[in-house]
Amino acid sequence: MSSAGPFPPGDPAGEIPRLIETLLATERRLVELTAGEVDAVAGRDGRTFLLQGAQEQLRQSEAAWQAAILDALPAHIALVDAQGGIISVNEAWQRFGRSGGLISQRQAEGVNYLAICDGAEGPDRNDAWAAAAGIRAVLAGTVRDFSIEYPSHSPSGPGWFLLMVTPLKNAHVHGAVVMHVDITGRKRAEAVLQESEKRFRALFDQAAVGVAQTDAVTGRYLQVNRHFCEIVGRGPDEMKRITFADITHPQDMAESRDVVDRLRAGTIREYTQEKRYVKAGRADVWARVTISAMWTAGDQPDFFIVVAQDITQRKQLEGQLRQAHKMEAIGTLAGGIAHDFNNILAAIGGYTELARMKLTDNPAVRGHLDSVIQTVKRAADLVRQILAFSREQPLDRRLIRLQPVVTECVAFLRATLPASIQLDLEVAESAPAVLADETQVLQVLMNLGTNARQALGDRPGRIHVQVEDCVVDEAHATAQPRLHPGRYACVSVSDTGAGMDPETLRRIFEPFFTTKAPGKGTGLGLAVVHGIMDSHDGLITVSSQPGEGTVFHLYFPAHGAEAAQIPPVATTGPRGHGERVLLVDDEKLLIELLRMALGELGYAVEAVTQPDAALELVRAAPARFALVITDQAMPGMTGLQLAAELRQIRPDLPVILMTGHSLTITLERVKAIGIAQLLLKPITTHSLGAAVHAALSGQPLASHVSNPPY
Amino acid sequence: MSRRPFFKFRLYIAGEAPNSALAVANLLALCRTHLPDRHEIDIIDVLREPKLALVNSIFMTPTLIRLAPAPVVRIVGTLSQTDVVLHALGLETVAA
Repeated sequence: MSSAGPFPPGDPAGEIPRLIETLLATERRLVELTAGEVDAVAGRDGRTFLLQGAQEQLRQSEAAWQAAILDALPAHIALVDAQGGIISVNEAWQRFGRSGGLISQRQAEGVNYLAICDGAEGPDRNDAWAAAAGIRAVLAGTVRDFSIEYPSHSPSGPGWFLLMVTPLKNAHVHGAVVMHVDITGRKRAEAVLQESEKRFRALFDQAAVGVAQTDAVTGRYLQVNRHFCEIVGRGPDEMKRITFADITHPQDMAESRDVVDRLRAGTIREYTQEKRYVKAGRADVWARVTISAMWTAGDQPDFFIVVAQDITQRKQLEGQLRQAHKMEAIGTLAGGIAHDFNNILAAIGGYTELARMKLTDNPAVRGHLDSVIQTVKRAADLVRQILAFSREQPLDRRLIRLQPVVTECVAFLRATLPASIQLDLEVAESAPAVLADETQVLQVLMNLGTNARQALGDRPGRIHVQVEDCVVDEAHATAQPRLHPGRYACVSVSDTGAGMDPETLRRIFEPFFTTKAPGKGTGLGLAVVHGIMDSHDGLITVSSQPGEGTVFHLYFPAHGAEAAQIPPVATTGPRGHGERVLLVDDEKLLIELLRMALGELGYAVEAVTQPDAALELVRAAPARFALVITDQAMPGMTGLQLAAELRQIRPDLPVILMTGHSLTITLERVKAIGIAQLLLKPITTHSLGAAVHAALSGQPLASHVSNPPY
Repeated sequence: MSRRPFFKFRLYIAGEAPNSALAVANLLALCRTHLPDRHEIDIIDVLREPKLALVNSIFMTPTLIRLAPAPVVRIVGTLSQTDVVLHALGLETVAA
C-alpha cells in the first residue's frame, strides 16, 4: 500500500468508495424492480452487466465445467504457476496422491512441484531432475513443450509414465499444465512385442531351412534368413537389391513366373516346386521351394513367404541312380546280343579254321581264310568289350597288388607317347591289395591312358597316373551311392587336355557315345571301363572342366589278405588219344563244328542235341565216356542241371561247360556241381583242346577262352 | 383450424444464469402444452451475441419477444407466472 494514504493517487478525495456504494445500491434496486427475475441488463451501447445472482452462478458453472473435464481425464493433471507452485490438480492426480505416489499430500494445491522434483531421492531421482529441468524450460519459454517417459517405482507397483508439460500463456507464460499419463500398458505391450520379435527373429535366423519374405508386387526380397543366403550363395545385402527372377534358373523361370501370377491372382494360396537357383560363380543349386501368399485385405496379397530346402545332393544322387539303371539296362541288352553273336562268331571262326587246316595246297585261299580269321578276331574283341561293359565277361579275380600292374601299364604307355607329352607315375606302396582281374585292370588303364593321350591331341601336356591308399569316410560315401565307407586302392589318371563340358561328362560312360569322328572310335572304351569297375565292386568317378583337363579316379575296394601271386596256368597244344567224348548242344551247327574239331584233336566223339538223350546214354553205359562237353543254355535243362544229374550217375565223370555268357553263379558253385572246366565262346580249336586236356588230366577248374589263338 | 395462428418467439438470455435457464424451461413447457406443432423459438445469448440484443433494444434478460402473430409482444422475466404469460400472449381463451 502507498504511504500517501488509504486512497489511490488519482482519488485523493476518496470518491471511489462512494461510487462503489452507488453501484451496489443500483444493482440492489434493479433486482428489486425486476422482482429478481432478470439476470442481466444492457446499456444503450450494448454493454451487458450481470446482476449478482447470475454472476455467481455463471462463475460456478464455468468452474464446474472445467473441473469436470479435467476430472474425467485419466491423466494426472496439475496446473502450476510461473514459479512451479501447484494451483490446481484434477481428480486423477488426487487419487494418485492418495495412493502415495509422487505427491503425498491429499491437497496438493500450494505445494511447489519443482521443489518436489528437486528433492526426489531413490531410483527415480534422475528422471525427477530431468522433469524439473523440462518444466523450468517450458516456464522460461525456452522450449514450446516438454515430454519424458520414465519408469515409476511407486508403492502401487512398477510402471511407466509419460510426463507432458505445456505452457499456460496469453501474452507471456504464466504457468504450465503438468500432465502424467500412465503408459505401463503400452510399455508392457512393447516389451511383449520386442520379446516376441526377438523370438521370431531367432527362429527365422536359426531355421534349418531357407526362409525369405518377398514383395508380392515387385518380387523383391524384403527379408532373408541366414540359411536362405547360404542356399543361393549371396549375402543379405545383395539379396535385398534383387528379385526372385534374378536368381531363378532360366529353365525354371516360366514355372516360377506362372506360380507368382497365380498367387497374385489368388487362384492358389501356396505352391511347391523343385527348382534351380543360379548361384553366383558356382554350380546351380536345386531347392524344394514352397511359396505362400499372405493376405490381409484388398485384391492383392501383401507379400510372399518362401521356404526353401537345398536338395542338390538328392538330385545328384537321383541322377547317378538313373544313370546306373540306364547302364544296367543297356548292359543287359548288349549282353544278350553279344551272346547270340558269339555263337555266330564261333561257327564262322571254327569252320574257317577247319577249312584252313584241310587246305594244304592253295596258298591264295589260305591267305583269304587267314583274313577271315583275323576279322573274326576283331569281331571277337568287340564282343568281349561289349561283354566287359555289360559285366558278362568271365572274371578271373585274384588277390593282387595294383602297384606293379599300373607300373607295367605306364611303361607301355610311355613307349607309345610322343616326347611332347610328359607321363608321371606316383605310387603309394601302402595302397592295399585288391581282388582284381589283372587283364581287365590293364584294359581299364590302357583305355584311360589312350583317352588322356587323345585329349591332349598334338599339344604338349602332361598325364599323371597315381596309385593311392585311400580311405572313404561316411561323408564321402554319402555323396557317392556306390561307394561304401572303407579302405580303397585308388588309381587316378589325369591329363592337362581339353577337358569336357558338363553335357559330355554326363554321357561319357554310355556305350556308343563318342566325341570322335565316325569310324575313329567305337564309343565303347569308357563303357567297358565302367563295366569292369562295376564287376570289381569298384567305382569310377570323373571330374572335368572345359580347358582344365580331366581326372578319373578308380576305386578298388581293399581286400583283407595280403597279395599273393598265383602263377598263370600254362597252356600248350595237347592232343587226345582216342578218348570218347559225349557232346551235348542244341545247336546242330556247333555240334558239327565241335565234332570235327575234337576229331582233329584226336578224340572220339558222340553227339546229342537233347540233355535227356545224354543222360540216357550215360545211364546205359556209365563207363563209356571219358568226358562230357555240354552247352549251358539249352531248352528244357541247363548245362549245370545236366552236370548235376550226371554226377548222380557217375560222380567222377568230368564235365566241361560251354557258355557264351559268363555265369550268374560263382566259380565255387560251378565247382561244387562238379564242372571240371569252363569253355567260353567263341570256342577255338586251341581253347577246346586246352579245356579237354585239363579236364581229362584233372587240372583245377579254370576258364578257357579263345584269346591266345586269335 | 385455419384460424389457429403460428407463433414465432425470440428469447434473449444471459448464458446459463438462473433466471435465463428458468425462462427457457418455462417457455419450452408452455409451447409444448399450448402450441404443439405451431411454434418456433429462437434463443439468443446476449453474452455471446451482445450486438443482436442491441439491435432489438433489449436492455434486460431474460426477455421474450412474440414476433408472430402481430403485434409484437415483449415479456421480461422467468415466465414463471403461467396465467399472466398466457394472457399477455393472448392464449388464455384458446386454452379454455
